[in-house]
Amino acid sequence: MEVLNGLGQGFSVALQPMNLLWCLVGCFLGTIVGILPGLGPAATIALLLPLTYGMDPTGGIIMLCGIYFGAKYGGSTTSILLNIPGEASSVVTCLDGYQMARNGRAGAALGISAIASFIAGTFGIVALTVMAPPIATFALRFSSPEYFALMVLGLSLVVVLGGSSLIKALLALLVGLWLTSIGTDLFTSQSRFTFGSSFLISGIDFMIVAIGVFAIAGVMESIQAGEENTPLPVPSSLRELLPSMEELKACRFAFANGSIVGFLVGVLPGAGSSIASFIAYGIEKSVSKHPEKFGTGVPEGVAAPEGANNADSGGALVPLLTLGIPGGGTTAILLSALVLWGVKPGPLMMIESPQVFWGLVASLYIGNIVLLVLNLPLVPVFAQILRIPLYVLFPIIFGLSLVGAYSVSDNIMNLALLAGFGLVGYVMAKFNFPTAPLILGFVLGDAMERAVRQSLTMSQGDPTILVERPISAVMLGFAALILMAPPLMAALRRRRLAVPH
Amino acid sequence: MQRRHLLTTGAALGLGASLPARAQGGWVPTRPIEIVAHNGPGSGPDVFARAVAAALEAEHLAPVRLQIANRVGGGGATAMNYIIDKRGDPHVLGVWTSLWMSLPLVQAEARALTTDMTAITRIAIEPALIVTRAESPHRTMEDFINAAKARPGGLRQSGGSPTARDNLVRQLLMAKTGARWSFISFPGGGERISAVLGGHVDIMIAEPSEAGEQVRAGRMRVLAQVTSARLPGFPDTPTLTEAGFAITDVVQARGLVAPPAIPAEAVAFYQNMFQRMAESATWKKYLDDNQFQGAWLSAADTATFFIEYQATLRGILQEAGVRVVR
Amino acid sequence: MASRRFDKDVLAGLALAALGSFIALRATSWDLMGEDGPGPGFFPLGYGVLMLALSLVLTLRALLRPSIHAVETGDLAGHMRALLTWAVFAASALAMQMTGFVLGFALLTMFIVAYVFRRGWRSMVLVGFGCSAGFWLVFTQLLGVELPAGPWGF
Repeated sequence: MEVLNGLGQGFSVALQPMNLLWCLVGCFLGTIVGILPGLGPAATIALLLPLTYGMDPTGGIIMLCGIYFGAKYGGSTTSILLNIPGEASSVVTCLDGYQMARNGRAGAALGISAIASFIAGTFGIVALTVMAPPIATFALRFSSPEYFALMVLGLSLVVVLGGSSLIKALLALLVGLWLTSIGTDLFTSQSRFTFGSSFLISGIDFMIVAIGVFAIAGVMESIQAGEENTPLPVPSSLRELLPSMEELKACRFAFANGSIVGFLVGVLPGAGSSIASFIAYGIEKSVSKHPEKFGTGVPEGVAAPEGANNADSGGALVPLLTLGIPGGGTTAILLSALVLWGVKPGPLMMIESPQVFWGLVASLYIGNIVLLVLNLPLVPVFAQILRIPLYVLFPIIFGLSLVGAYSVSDNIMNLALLAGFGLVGYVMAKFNFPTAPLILGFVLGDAMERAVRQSLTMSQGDPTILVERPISAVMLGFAALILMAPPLMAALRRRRLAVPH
Repeated sequence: MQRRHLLTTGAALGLGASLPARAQGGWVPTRPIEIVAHNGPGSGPDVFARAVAAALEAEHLAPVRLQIANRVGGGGATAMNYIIDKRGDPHVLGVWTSLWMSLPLVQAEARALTTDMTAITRIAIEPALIVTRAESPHRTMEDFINAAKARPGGLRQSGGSPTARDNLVRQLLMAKTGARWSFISFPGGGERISAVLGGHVDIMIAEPSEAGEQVRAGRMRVLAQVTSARLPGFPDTPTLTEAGFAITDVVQARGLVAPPAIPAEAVAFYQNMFQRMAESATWKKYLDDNQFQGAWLSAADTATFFIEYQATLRGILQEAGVRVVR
Repeated sequence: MASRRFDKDVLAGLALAALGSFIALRATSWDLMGEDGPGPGFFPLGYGVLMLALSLVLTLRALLRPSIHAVETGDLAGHMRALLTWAVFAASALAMQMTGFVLGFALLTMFIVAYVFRRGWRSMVLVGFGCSAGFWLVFTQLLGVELPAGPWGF
């Protein structure tokens, strides 16, 4: 009842014209920021902060969260149309989204992405509204051993992502794991694999690997296959531009999957949104009746990760708003914004500044609807990008990749690395190595190593801490299930075939 | 940034940039000033740099535009090297933190030393609180130290990198008391606080801005303050010295620095500008909101601080068993 | 009969075995076990050893059971085009620190239009100029994103 009261109060605040305006502005800016590589939500929010100094806190946080959520909507646009991940959590969308575009289903992919983002985003906000304090308290029980189990769960998905050759998938995974260890070891400040370069001391940025391996290598492959004379299929009729009923039906589980996985992973501070989208994608593929089609352009392969990265935003707001704990990255800036405006984010925020809290939550509902309304009609507009002749599109892809890579840190070495990973992606493809496990290893490797070393320090060297706690044991159990699923399913299928009834 | 860029370009084109004659016949900046932060948007040095820029603009102390440049990389070395490489350029400033003194000590690739730069000012010091969760059995610092002595290595502290202030304070305390407890590095402040709240570690040495709200809500308790004098927000908590654990001051300071070999009049101008900023109401409010302590030092004193503090840090790091390369 | 010399899996296996050995060797020069748990060398050693082992399995499997899929298909021309394009891309990216983004990108675009797509010089100049001007306008002017700048300021 308290919740309904709060929401009621919140809507009365959120529906005030000024706040509605801020919501619109934020959503619009966020969508643009998400679409364009080179401009991330974190950087944009930080840059806009000075302009918001004198603002009313409620309006200010509404706008900033509009940017935060909007970026997740927009991030999939370049992933689907150009194979360039718009931001870190949209990397997984490239896998099936771009293939859908190549199959002439670009409009459907964009539409499904928007719908999944809406459903999962709303789920995340509802969960935030209803369950925020108990979930936040539950999340406190997660620490390094549980993070380790989560990472193992993520890594076990390699068997699902690997394609035909498990050995090659594992090798790609190991390369990805190794690449994250390049840099400075957090615990001992030891430089690893930096070859004396001060540039590599901070490690390699994920976006550079992803853009190189997907976008650059993708263009190279097109050129090698002589595809420059084959125009991309552009959906023309309205029916072709929107997702079909079968495609939407196929995504039913994906919508739920993305929502739940995204929200739960988002609640954990320090677990990034790309982890959420990978796990959602992996789960989707492992329960699918046609797993071999993933990677060729199946709608669930877009719906699951896109939903996950939006639900993740809702989840990340849980520790921020109920405990004042930032998850990292964008939420850290949101935290400093709240401090700037004199709102004190912490356990007392809900009680002391209810109009900010509930006003924000209410405006998130509104913002989500605004974003859906904004993005769906843009689908046919964006799909026209595919009409651009390839001899203009390829340079644009290169250009956007360069801008995206350079924006990580203004260093020319980022561009050199981008080119390097482009070559790596191309070589991998030509040698029949799957690239998704490399990206997966890169996303998880660092975090997994940290989780293990933190856990072992906590237990003074006793490795049983990794399996004895209930939450981590459950997740490790899931991981074992996933690892055993393919051979089990294959065995089951053989038995069924062998019994001639 | 889109709007800011358009707005400022439009203003400059339409109205023409005006230069108020602020200085009394000395040097004034004639181009936009670049303020360099060693980490990305939203990070400590970045937020501080933006706050400085905002305060200067609010108080109309800067005759030209201020631009924040995030020069990320090398663990901080990129920004520091940039400052050194901009030798002679008086339109570049850097936000220095204690990291700028500890990093060259442990990282061979970091070639820039604050002692080679032109010190402008020290502005603020971040105190720290030794906190534990409310349900913890430890009520005072002494409780914790005794428990740690009873179970060597059994208690745990969450913190950042091993060269950061929280580990250095731990090393000094362990050396002083003979107790031993382990240090668990987490890359983000959120994870460190969660670890304490969830009972996975026993203590944390946190900044008041991180832990203050938790304490106010009754979820965390302060065992001691790592400052020289009690903070106004925590009048009932003893400082480490008062609690009986006097250790060398490990100062987490912030200020501004300029490239080497800039004209003396430029140094005077900046020193004057930042001194006025430090005395302004806008700045005092910022300090209060973030629970920093004002610690203004003149350019000359800051230069001395760089030398002395780096030497102190070297000693502490060596005692902590961290490999020192300079 | 499949030519073993060009068996891609063997080549890949050997290359990864070399990488794995390198990683494992470097890892041994750091602490493997600290007093509080695994040191910085522990995980890289694991990755390197596993990589070496798996790549040897891959190589052996390819040597003992060569599959037709692994054989070089001989599309040398296609590879050359792709790799040359890549080389120009990489070179222009590196050159941008001296020429700036706009010029470097214009040259890259012109190369792609002319070489990959074999279009005439009019397309080449138009697209080259158009793309680089477009990027300059949108990113540096409108959005204020920093791009590499040459001595002429852009």
